[in-house]
Amino acid sequence: MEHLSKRILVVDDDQGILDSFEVLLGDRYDLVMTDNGYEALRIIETKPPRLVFLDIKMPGLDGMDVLKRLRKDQKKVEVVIITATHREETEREAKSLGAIDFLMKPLNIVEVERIASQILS
Amino acid sequence: MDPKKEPKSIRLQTRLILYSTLVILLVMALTIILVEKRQSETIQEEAQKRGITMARHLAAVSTNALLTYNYIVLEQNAERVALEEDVLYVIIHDKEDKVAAYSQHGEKQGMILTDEVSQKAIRASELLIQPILHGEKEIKVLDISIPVYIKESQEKWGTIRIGLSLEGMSSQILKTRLNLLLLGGFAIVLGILGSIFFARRITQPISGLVGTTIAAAKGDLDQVIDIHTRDEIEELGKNFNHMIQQIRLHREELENHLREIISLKAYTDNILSSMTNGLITADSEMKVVTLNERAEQILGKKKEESAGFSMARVLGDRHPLYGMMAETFAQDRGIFHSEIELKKNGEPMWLTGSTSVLTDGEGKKIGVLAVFQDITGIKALEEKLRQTDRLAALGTLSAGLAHEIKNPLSAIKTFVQLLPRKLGNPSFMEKFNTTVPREIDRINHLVEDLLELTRRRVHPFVALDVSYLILQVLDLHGEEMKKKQIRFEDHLDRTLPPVEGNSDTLYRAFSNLVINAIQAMPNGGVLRISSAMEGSKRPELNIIFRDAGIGMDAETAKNIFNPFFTTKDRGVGLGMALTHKIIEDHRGTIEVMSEKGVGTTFVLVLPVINS
Repeated sequence: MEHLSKRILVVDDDQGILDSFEVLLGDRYDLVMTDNGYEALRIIETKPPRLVFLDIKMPGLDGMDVLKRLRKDQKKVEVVIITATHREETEREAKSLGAIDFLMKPLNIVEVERIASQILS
Repeated sequence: MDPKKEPKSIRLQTRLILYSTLVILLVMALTIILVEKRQSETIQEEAQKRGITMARHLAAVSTNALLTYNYIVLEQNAERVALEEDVLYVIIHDKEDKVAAYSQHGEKQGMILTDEVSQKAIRASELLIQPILHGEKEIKVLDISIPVYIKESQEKWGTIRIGLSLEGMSSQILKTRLNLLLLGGFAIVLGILGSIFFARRITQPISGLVGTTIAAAKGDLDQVIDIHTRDEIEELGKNFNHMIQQIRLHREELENHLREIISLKAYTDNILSSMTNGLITADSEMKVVTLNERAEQILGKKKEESAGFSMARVLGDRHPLYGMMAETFAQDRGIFHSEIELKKNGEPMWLTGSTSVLTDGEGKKIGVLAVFQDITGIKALEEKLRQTDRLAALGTLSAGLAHEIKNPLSAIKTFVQLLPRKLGNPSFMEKFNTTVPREIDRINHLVEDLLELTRRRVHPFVALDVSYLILQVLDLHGEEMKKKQIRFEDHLDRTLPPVEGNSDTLYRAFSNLVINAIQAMPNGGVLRISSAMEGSKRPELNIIFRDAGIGMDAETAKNIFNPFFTTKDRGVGLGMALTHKIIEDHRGTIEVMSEKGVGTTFVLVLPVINS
């Protein structure tokens, strides 16, 4: 049943970040990972996750583009932004597009685990 | 010439009248003298002839009486002849020279006259005429004496003497002279009147001509001379008209030229005063000639106080503009200085200026010109911009650095935080052992790259075969290229001479270019690399990397060598910046040409080792 799935999508072009999520959440959740925005949209379409950790700065379709597309398509998926550089207006824009949280790298594992458990419990 | 010393001019008409009068006077005087002389001679001859005739006649009628000593007859004869006009006296001498008859003086009969005239007359053997003064009144008299001979005999029988008064003749001559003088005077008056008339006729058109030329000389060129004398004066008038017409044409032409020059000058002055650049010109003696309004403002000098004075005096002999202008004039070539530092009222001022030599129409050097602009404001703006640019670059660099560091840092942090919890988990530990050192290496490389980018060249340079180095790089990335269906097209010339360089850094530069090409062709394509020799004096290697990838927009291509330059589509790390730095360290150049959707070409030029 889709609504009971424990699928989390992580979108980041950095292998280190993907590896971090794998060791942090991989043993408890159904973790799907990709390094680009196009693939992310495809996954959301075909295997909808309940939570997406989305990097902003990526080549091609970046995090904000993905967020806009999701908003446009009225996808019911929770999105948490993960970014290395903090800019208030980016955070404001992301939140106005429906992002539920805005996490700064280096990530705090406690916070990541809290969000995952909150959304997927 | 001092007009006071100029001899007084005599009018042509006066001169003509004077000359012709003089000529008339001379001619008339000469004529009168000649005619008078001739007339007097004639009158004298006539009187003489008459006297002689009377004497001969008396001699003829008195011969018999003389032969016969008939004194009465002789006396009668003498008295009769003495009645004739102008006859003052008649004397008849007998054979013995005694007075036989003496008109009006009968008492002298029988006497021998001893006066000189009588003696000469008595002794004369032929006609003798003696001019004498007779009596107390000393009347001019001709004493005509004729000796009386009879035919066939040489013996003188007596002497006939007639005293002929010349008074009548003199009055006749006087009368003639008077007549002549009257005639002459009349002729002279007529002559003078005639000469005045003709002089006027001749000089009138000349006066007209003179009047016209004076008017023309005063500038009235609308003068036309209308003379019909059918002589040289008419010719002169015609020539004068022609000349005036020519002068008028030339004057109109000159006036037109002048108008053009004035309007051109106004135009030039207008340009000079509206120029936003300062302009100053000096002559060959380095004296200020022109100073436009902007130059007055920039240099703080007034044109009126500068023109005609030496540049050294106006600007000061150490003024950079003066130095530039003097050098330009001396060396005959223009100078450009992008930045000239001055002090104006104690404040620094910056000019940009250029100079050039001024020449006349024949190319002769006549002065020097300087054009300059106050760039103090621009300099300040530039400085501000540079600061802004530096801050922006620093911002880009910081943001890039943060991004590049925070990702591996985030991974390391996660793994380290999980370590106490998952220490016993072998798969975690395996992942830990591969990920954490890798991420630490990433940070380390980043720091190394950053240091490399800012480091001065310290690597040793050796002779390198560029083709070999590039093939090594391709070897390393061969598997990845194969995976991404990228084909290498080899146009490398293996016979090229070596370049001087460092194999480690050049390898890195080539590697970065190949990685860039691979990233640009996610769906495969062709990477074409070629190399060739260029130039003969300073031989160089041309190495071209051309991919058929996604390409870049102009903004990205322009900034591709800036560290961490990022656009929406693309972010670059330090790779391309480092490549640029490495090529520059090798005294080479690198340029990029790119077109979105077509591909990107990098052109590298590296100097070849001089054999």
